[in-house]
Amino acid sequence: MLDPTQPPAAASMAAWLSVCPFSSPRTGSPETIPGNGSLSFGIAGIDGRLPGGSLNAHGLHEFKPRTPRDSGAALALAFALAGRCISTRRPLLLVLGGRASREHGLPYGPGLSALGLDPEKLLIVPAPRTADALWALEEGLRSRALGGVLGLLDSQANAIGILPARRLVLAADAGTTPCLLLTGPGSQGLAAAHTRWRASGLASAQHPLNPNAPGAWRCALTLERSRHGPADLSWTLEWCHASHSFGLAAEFPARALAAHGTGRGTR
Amino acid sequence: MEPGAVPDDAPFALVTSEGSRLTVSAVTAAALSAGIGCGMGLADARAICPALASRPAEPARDAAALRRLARWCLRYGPAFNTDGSDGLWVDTTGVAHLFGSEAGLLADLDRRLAWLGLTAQLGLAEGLGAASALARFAPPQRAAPPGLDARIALPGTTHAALSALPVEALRLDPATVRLLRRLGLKTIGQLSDLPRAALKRRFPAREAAEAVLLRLDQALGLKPEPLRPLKTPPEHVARAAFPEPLIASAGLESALASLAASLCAGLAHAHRGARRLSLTLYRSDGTRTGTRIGLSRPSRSSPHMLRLFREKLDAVDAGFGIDLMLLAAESTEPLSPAQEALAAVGPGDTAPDGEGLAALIDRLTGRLGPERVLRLEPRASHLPERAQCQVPALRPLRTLTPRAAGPPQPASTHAVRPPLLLPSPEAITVVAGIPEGPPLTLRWRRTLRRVVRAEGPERIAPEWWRETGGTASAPRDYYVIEDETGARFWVFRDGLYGGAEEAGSRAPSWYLHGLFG
Repeated sequence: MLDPTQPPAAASMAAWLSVCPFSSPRTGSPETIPGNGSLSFGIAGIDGRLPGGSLNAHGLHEFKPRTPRDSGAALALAFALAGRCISTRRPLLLVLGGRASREHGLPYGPGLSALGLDPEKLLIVPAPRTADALWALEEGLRSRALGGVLGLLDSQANAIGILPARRLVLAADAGTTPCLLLTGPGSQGLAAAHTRWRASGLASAQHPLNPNAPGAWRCALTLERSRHGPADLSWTLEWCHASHSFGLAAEFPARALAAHGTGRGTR
Repeated sequence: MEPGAVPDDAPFALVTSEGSRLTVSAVTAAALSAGIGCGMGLADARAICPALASRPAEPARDAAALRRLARWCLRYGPAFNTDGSDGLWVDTTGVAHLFGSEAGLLADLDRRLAWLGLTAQLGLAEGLGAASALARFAPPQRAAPPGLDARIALPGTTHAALSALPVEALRLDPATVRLLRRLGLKTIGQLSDLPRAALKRRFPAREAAEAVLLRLDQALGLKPEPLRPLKTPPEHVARAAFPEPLIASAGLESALASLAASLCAGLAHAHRGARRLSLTLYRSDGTRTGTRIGLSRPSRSSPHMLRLFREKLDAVDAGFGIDLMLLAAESTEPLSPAQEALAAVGPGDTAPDGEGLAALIDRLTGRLGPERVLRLEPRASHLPERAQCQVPALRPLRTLTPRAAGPPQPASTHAVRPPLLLPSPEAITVVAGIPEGPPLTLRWRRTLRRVVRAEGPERIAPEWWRETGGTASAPRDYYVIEDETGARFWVFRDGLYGGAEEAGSRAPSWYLHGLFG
């Protein structure tokens, strides 16, 4: 048990505060990161369909898995997207609401960096009570010190009421911090969200060397709702571990199918 | 013991056991008047007074209660500690005027202790020795002429106040006191009137004479006596007493605002910023409560402090009302005015404001607790669950060398690690094609999953240099597997097949350790 009254040494704390938010220079091309933590997939096919060419930097974006089995895919997608938004020098607040940490485990640095998310820039807040989780999200959105806010909320129940959701949207609107919210597959979507996405897992791409091994990670993504743009659009995304970026897997469906077939054939 | 278990006017004694003998160690006034004294055997005491009730003495709990009472005395002065097993002292330098006078201070202390159900003997003097003598041996208040309090020795009158007191008041060991009495030196006045050289000659040992002279000088204020407070008094304290106890939290908040402002003014004057703040609230019924906050950066911004305390004030139970508030900066660090001015200009949308992040960490920690606001820290270990630890964001950075600035380093291509690691590996049931092969199906959390693809194994050996005998852990074979929905998991087989001499007698078992996308 930690002694909460133990004061941290000033010098090292300052070192962390300086290392954490400001250390790495901006990565990626300038247009993907306009000024403050804006959020884009880095794929022309998706970003072009969004109003303004990217996810609204000060808005609430909801991500849902299609079924409970797809929650891993939705999580990884949210992490990867969040990784793109904290490349703007500032840390990311990760709020684990409800039983999220027991259900999905805890964020693991070595694996997060493979998704392009610098573990040193994570500020993790486990909040078993939904009220605390929403409060922490709102504080993060209003503080203006963060590159992004990512909330994993309980997948069990219809956790967020209309009023707290509205408060979150107002906080996101007032600040300049994008808010990603991962909610359960069964719960109703937030009416106030700027965009709502639904993710489901797909069989991975072919491994370049080993036909029996999982290859690049893929997920199917549907834009269910967009406040100022077209909705009901679907894509198949593929994550490139080398460049830490998304690509559209639909460009080569034949190869994906072939890979899938090979994988099955050997079993 | 519960108060009220024994009526105040009944004879009652606390008993300690010395070997097989039970001895009375403390008695009530009623027992004392019945002829029972400390040091008497319990059997003798029972013979004198058959109605005597007794309980075993609990010196440890007595000492703890005395320490608690000493902390309560913070309302009378910044430095305080217990004095022996039956006393406590408070440094009230510069405090008496808050109560009107020294006599007013003692009257207030007397009244409040009486409310707590305690009978106390008080003494007030320039030094600890004199105050201790007055408290323990001063004549009863009734005997003193009106307007003059025998318990108080004002500066310059110490000698006069002490001279009539017996030599026992000098805090000497019993043997020395006996010797002094045999020499006819019964009061402090007689002792101090003797020439020092003459006094020294009367003692068999030089040390004994020096001890007597030291205690005498300390009592008369001729030699300074170092005070060891229970805790170091904070340098920066703001204090507010209310004539009417405050109950509403709005009132407390506005009082706290003025306290914080005056504390911050003092901090600004000293060019310091607070890292830890404690707020102590004294209820009108004599109890106290308090709360404290930590700041991730030194600060003397009173709005920031107020915001942090506001989260905690709601949980404070005001009881019958708060009549005194103390806000203390328990830990401070240098904070130059220039630094503060820069931070005040800084927070904008474009400036990299570490100040804003520090304030956010403070607020989150203030409400949720330090163990709920975490950051990840890498550790030097190849075991997956030990390669990272979560530390409170308030805690200082442990890494020895600051990380070189640069984009996030992609993990080594050889070591595939999941972004989510379960707090502890969860057991799964697995069907594998061959014993050493990857699983074909697995059942995790009551869901059966068919494995479509698998990669592995990656063998991770235990850290044998950390094992302390007994249970030797087995090496693990990790696989990345993908099920038919595309969900990917990190599973491992704990132990080896076949090699009984290596893995012990138990059969290998499977666990799920992490989740990929």
